[in-house]
Order: sequence, then C-alpha cells, then structure tokens
Amino acid sequence: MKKCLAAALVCLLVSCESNSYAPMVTLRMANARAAPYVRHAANPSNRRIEVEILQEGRSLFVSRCIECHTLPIIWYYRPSDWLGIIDEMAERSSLKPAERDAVVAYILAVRAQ
Amino acid sequence: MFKTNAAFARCFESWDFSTPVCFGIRYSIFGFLLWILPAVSAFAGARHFTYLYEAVTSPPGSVELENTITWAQTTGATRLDEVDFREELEIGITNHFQLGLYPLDWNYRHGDQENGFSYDGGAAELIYNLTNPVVDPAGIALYEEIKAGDRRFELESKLIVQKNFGPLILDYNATLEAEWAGDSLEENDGELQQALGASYEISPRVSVGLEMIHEFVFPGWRDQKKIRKFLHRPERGGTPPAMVRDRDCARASHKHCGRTRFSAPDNFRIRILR
Repeated sequence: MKKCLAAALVCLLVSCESNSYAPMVTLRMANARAAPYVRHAANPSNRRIEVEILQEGRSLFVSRCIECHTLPIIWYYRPSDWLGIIDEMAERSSLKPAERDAVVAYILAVRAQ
Repeated sequence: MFKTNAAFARCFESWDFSTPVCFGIRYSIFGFLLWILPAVSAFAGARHFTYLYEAVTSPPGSVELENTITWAQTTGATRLDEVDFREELEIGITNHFQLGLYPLDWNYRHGDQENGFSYDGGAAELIYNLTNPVVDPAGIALYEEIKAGDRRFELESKLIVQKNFGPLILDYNATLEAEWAGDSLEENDGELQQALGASYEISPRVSVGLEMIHEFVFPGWRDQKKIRKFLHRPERGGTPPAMVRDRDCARASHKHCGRTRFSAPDNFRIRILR
C-alpha cells in the first residue's frame, strides 16, 4: 500500500514537472512567429536581443505570476486570450510596459513552437 | 506588555450592552473591522499557506496590506480564548528583496485568569529570495525578523524552501528564534521550529492544503527540564502556543501544566488572512 502511494506521488510530481510550465528559451523560439511582437525581431542580426528579451520574459513569467497563483499552462489559452490576461495581470504584478512586452513575447513564442 | 485597559476588559468580560461606554467601544471595534477588511482585501496578495512562508517575494514597487487574525481556544485546568491581531505592510524593494513592517501586534485574551487587550510591540522582517521555486531545483529564501516590545526583544531567522510542481506547492520552513525578556532582558529562550506544508491550487482563488509544525523550545538555551520551567512563565513570551509545547505539557505532570496557559492542546485555532 505504501509503495503504491509513493509511486502515485512520484507520478504526480513527474506529471507536474516544472519545465513543461515554462519551457526554456531556444533559438527556434526566437525565430518563431512571436518574433514580430518583439522590437528588432525581424532582423536576424538582432537574434541575440530577441533571446535576451525572451529570457527576461520567462524570468518575469516564472517569478511575478507565482506571487499570487501557480503558473498557468501556456497551452491552455489562445494567443489572443493571453494578451488580455497579461494586460489585466500586469498592473497587479507591477510589470512595466517593457516587461509586459517581454512576457507577452515569451508566451507567444512558446505558443508558436 | 502594556497594561490592560480595565474599562475594555470589563466590557468584554461581561458582554453587557447596557452600559453606553461598552456599547460604544464594542461597536466602534466591530465597525472598524468591518470597514477595514473589505478595503484591505483589495491590496493583499494571495497566499497558499497560513502559517508557512513562501519563497517568493513581492514585485518591486508593490505595497500590500495584510491583516492576520488568529483565534485559539485552550481548555484544560483553565480556559483561555485568545485572539491575535497582526497588521503587516509588505513592500517589494527589488526583484528578490522584500520588506515587511508590523507596527501593530496586539491581542485580546478572555479566560479564567486573564482578560483584556495587550499590545505586543512591533516588528520588521526582511526576506531575500535566492532561487526560483519553478525553474530551479528548489526555491530558497532567507528570512529575518526583528521584533521589539515592552521588555522584550526577539530575533527570528528562517530558511524557506519551496518547490512548485504545477498546481502543487511543497513548502518547508526551518525557524530559529531567539528571545530576550525581562527588565534588563536577562531572560533568554530559543526555539527551533520546523514546518512542512503542501498546497494544491484548484483554481487561482481556491487551494487546499495541509501544514504541520514541530517546535522545540530551549529555555535559556539549555536542557529539557527548563522547557517546563518556561511553560510556567508564559507571560514572558508573546508567541502563541505551539504543538510541541502542548505535547511536552501532556508528558509533564498536570501540576506543572495546570499553571500555564499552554496547559493543554488548543481545541482549535482559526487564522484569517486578508
């Protein structure tokens, strides 16, 4: 019985594995459809900046959101929904406009993968 | 502690509404609470635990007001109802650093041996977040609280370890508390507390969870016998009764335990955070 409970707990934890909620930023992500939302994204020479912006967006996403609630599943909402959600949450989480844009860029980049 | 206001105590002792003064005092307090609770709920952030601290800090520039009301009832040789009130102003300084101010720690006690309000002092807390509970193997934060009151001084240090697995949050707090009390702060006690909690977020507004607290008390930072001695002098500390005290007291003789307000396990303890 105890082994079953332990196995169930391990399965639960594995199924809730954190990175699936906030995937790492990749170059592919930087090139994805979300790129137009990011300043300079259209120019390939600015790819490094795009990656930095996406990394900042991820960093903000995983730190500011969990101040009030656990991380939402990015795939659960459509890109158009995310824009409204982040606009609503930006004030509560004290996001500056540039930070808000970075979070949007990251989420849409993940969605576009 | 500050001296109890006798008029206040009499009013709440008798629950007699006929006296105009008591009527006014009581309804002023209730009115104040009703007035402030809806207002402050607009500022306070969400918490998944009532006793445990989480490793996440407030965003920079944010200011939150959080009220904590804890009602504990103890019955044994004597009965005591104690309601603790704590108002916290939580300020986000940087992405990883948070300041908390507790200007008003006060309580109301109603029991066989004591009645009335008392002001316990004020406190300041500092929380520094080191790692993130989502992307790092564990979210770690360091906590330091400095509390001062009438003939009392306390330092409380915490190591907070938290891990988020999607909607599931596991949290662990290790707390070391040092307290000095007395006219020249000659009495000192130490406490080591471990707390473990799990919370599952059903929706952003609803979570269910479980918290466990285990506490060791070291009066004078010495052997176990003095733990019982500490229990004889509950007036020295303003901290609420904890599980280990109850357990130790249950092991000790009734003669010892009957003299303290920590004499028996709480019948219940309710905490409301707004």
